[in-house]
Amino acid sequence: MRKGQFKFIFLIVGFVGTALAISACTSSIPDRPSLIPEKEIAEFKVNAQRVLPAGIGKEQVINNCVHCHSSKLIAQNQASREGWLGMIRWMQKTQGLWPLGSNEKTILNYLANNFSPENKGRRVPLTDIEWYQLEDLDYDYLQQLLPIVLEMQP
Amino acid sequence: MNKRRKFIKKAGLASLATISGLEVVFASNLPRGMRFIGLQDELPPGKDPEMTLLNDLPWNIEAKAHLLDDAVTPSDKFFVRNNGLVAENPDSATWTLRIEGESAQSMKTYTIEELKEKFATYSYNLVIECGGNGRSEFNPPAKGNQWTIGAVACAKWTGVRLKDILNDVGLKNDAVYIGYYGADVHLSKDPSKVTISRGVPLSKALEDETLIAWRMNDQQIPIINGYPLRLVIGGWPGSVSGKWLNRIVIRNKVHDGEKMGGDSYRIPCETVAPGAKVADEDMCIIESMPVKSLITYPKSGAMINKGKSLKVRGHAWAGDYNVTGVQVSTNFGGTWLDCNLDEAVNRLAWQRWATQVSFSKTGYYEVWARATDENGNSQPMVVPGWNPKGYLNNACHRIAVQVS
Repeated sequence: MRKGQFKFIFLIVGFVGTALAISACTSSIPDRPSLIPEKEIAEFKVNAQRVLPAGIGKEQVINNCVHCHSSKLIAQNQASREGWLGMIRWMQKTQGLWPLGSNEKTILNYLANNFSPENKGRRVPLTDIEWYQLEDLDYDYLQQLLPIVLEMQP
Repeated sequence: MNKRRKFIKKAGLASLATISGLEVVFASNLPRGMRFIGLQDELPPGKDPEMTLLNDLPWNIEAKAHLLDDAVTPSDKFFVRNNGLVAENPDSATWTLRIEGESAQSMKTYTIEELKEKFATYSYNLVIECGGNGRSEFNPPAKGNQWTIGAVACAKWTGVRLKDILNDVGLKNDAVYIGYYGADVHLSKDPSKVTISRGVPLSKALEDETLIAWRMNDQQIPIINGYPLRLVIGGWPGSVSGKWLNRIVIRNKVHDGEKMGGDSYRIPCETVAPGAKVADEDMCIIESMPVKSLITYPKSGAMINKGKSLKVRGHAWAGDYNVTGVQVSTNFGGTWLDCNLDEAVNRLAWQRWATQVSFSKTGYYEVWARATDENGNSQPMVVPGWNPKGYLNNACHRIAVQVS
């Protein structure tokens, strides 16, 4: 095989490979209005990787749910599968979320598994108390002393 | 979070703030989801490092009770509840406010300078509390930012009375409501979408304390809190106090802007069982916020020695009404002790309360605070009536104390 021919075949293989890779990528990116710059979306996705727990469906959540709002909003909420579906429908109806197609089921499974409600009763005990020794200082008394101290200055 | 991480957090922000001018430069230029490299999950500049970041896109930040101890809340401890993205490059020199609508006799546009020249300026200390403050306690959980207790503040606001502007424009006889529009950008960046546009009945709009404000605590309003111009309507859900204000509409019906309908800032007209489905037509708009109080001193988790008395203090407020009494309990509501209660410095400001408690035995205690308003309403000890979006949780505030 001549050197030029080899180069040509290499080029073809490379081209087809790249095209395949691009099409594979784009097929996982939903059809959406591109008002938010790609660079920003990329950054949100990096943050979401860190904030969201691992699991089947995480990728679909990242691809569809963190364009408009922080992954922190997802992680601080808890709801049943039905509750999460309600939020998705509300976002689709009013906030410009696109149809999720076959990803919807995967996304719902992920959200319902990872962010399900716990029964908190009518009021939970105080939690996350950071104990500290309360200083035995009487600030009111110190404040009364302050003018006297200031007067003593030359 | 461990202590080391906290230290790094604080040191990081402190060193950022010391780079001259950074705070101002960034504060006037906060882009969407602004982040500093190496400081992910951090608060925007100008907020106390102890504030809790609930959401960074859009910004939602709350205080902790002990941060709210000041009579007038400093801007760095003022919560942030943004529905969309901060207005892009707002400038007070070129900013305008337009008044129009089907019930306006004329359409007028004012620059901020013109507002200052044309109308008398007033200052009031006004309580702004997010309607969803306390949402995190509802069961079943309600969707949205999971506020605990810190989405409330009472700052000093300076501006002109909305009623003076409305008089200048002229109201038609059928005027019943006002609505606002601001320059915040919808999260989708779709310019055709309005982020939030709420309002109040004319009677509330015409109150002396309803301000179009350009100053907060005698300084420029932080951009994240609405610079250069915002509505401040004390005692009602914070969402009626529109930020980055550029337009007010005078309506002949209840304003129908974004987040005036559905579950937004509305509760079931009749109380419902937890988790119930409520039809749209059975939801009513929240008006005055309910009676509530906070223990701002000491910070929860205080360890004291037996025999020492403990000073306790905080604030109480009740929407459009006066607070007439505050009580504390150290035995889970078994008995209640009356506190000293100050008058409000002006209508719709919060009221300082204080007392001293002592503990006869060693052990774990909780101090609970309960305010009562002029209508005889007081705070429940458990979470009050469930509603779909988890609004109006005014359950009494609790702090933990260990006596040894």
